[in-house]
Amino acid sequence: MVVVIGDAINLERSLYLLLQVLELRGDVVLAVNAVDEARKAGLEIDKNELGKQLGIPVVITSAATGEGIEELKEVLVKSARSSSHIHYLFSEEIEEKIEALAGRFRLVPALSEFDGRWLAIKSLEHDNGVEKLTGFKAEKDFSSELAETRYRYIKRVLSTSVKGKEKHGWDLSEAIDHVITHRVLGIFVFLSVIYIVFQLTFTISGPLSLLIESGLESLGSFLGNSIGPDWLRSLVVDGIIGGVGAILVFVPNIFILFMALGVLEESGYLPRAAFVIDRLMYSMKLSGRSFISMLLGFGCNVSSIMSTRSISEPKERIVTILVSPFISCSARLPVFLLIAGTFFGTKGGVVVFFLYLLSIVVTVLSALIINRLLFKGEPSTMIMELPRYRKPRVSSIMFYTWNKGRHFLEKAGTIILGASVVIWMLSYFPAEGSQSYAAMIGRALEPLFIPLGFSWEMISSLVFGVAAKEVIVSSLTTFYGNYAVMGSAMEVMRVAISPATAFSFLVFVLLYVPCLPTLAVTKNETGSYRYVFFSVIYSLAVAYSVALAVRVIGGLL
Amino acid sequence: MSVRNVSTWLFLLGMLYVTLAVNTAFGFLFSAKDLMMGIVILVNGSIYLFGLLERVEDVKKRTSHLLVGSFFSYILSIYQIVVVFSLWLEGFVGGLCLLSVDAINFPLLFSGLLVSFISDYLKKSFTTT
Repeated sequence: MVVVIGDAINLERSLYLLLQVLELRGDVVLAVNAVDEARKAGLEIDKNELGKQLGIPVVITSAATGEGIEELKEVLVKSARSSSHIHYLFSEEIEEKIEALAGRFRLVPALSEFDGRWLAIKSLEHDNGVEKLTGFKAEKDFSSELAETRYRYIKRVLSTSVKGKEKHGWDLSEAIDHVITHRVLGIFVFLSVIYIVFQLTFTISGPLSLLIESGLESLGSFLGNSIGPDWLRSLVVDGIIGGVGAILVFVPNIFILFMALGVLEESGYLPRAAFVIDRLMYSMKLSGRSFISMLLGFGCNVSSIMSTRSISEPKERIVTILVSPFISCSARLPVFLLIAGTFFGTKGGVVVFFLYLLSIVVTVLSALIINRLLFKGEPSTMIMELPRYRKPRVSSIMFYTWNKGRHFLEKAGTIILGASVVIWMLSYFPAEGSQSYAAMIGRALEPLFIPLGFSWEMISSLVFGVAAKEVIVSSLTTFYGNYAVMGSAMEVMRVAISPATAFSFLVFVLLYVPCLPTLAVTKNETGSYRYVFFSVIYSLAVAYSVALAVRVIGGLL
Repeated sequence: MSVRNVSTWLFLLGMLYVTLAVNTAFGFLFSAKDLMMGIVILVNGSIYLFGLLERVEDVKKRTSHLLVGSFFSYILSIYQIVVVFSLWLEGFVGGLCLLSVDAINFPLLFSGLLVSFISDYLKKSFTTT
């Protein structure tokens, strides 16, 4: 059973998808959604007439108000399986070809599970997947003739089942789009919006982080006074509370960032951002579709890489997979906030904004370089339907925020908790501080990082950060916490590290090796370790060069 | 709104926001020095001024710039209120006073709130489908 969800306001385009599904199978239910908005716009949809014309059950729904949802469930339970049925006929010439091809395909045992007529129609449309499946390529592409027939049928159906106002002049969405998607203004408006989002993330979370921090401090001192053995006290207070707590302090930032992104998505602005950036991306031989994948990377690089499956052009897909890890994921945000807050105070928000901007610039430039060096691919064209602007609903935003943000909490309770214990052990044995195993790892790599001015604590935390980027925060607070006789690990860091080195470290964290889950998904999606090695080496080279440039320029200033 | 009124508002608000941008970027009057915020306000000013580049007879296009510009100004005002509230709360939690006249940026805050009436008025001139 398939439910096709149509948009009540754009029913013509929604029915086109429905017809394509109906060509494949008959057990379909049409849910005409957003009917509340259609009514506001003066549209009246006769579901009985629509159902009669299409020969399938039709339910009118509104996801926003819940209207029709129960009816939809009932219809789904009652509906029976059925095979595809013909609603309209194409021109005589095309019908003859369909019949001949369908007959031919029906004789092939390997194609027996597919509908012959559907395979024939798809072959005449030059569908790549069906051409590969059948091994047949039609001489002429009949896509436009087939589309015209479908649209003629849709018009006929709608003429009797939908009544409403004729559209006159511009609507609100068109008026806003005229400015928001402007060739010049669009980019600057996008940058301004993103800047405000990061500033809000930094500002609003301030008091909440402060509350969590003081709560954790109280818990730490309570447990510190209650636990007897030194090693156990150190494990609980410095390792677990210090390590996991250092991450938990940034939970408000993560949730506020996702809430702000949720507002942008719910309101319909984010697809416009993709549209605006599409022009820029095209010059880098990428399409707005790649940008949408990259946009997901602001949440998590893994989902960003997995979403590249929607990119039809293989070379463009590989380039997008290779450059997506440069997009600053939410796991890197706690590191940025810790260092930026410690070293740059109230200007921390500006630093974080610049890091995000740098991540976009490096991503785009890398795409250009990889395209020039490795591939000479052409970007796939992007056709996207811009949704209407909507007033965001609180329930949707809360759902979006929780859905995205809870992974961060889950990670804190699993990977980061485990990593904190391991890091504590490595920094406590065989002797605490500079004689520990963690110090040995950092010192072994120290010569490589002399030009960048990174200490062994910073280097070791980078090594552990490959497991998950948030671990860098736990590592830094554990390592520098060891020196803190009075005051916090952050105060020790402020004394031990110069602002130029701190900024250079932030840039390195932004650009260096992707985390292990990202590398694993890169292997899965590309099917080759070649791209994984390339990703590791290329990102290290870029991170080192840009961090060095930042350190040198910062030193001169 | 007539094309003449729209153009006048575009010019006046464009100039106002360019002035506010300079004021915020350099921290001249009732505002802390904040270059980045100054640039964001300048973008708001250019939304109005770009409207003047549209053809005079294209009143819908000019009105669009006034609508989006005034909504953006309103958002900046709300943003400023949120920042001020967060500063107050952070100070309250930490037992400090982080608020100052400059941190509030009164010119930006009040301009946006007043301009929001224009946005509200203009919305009615477009259909909502």
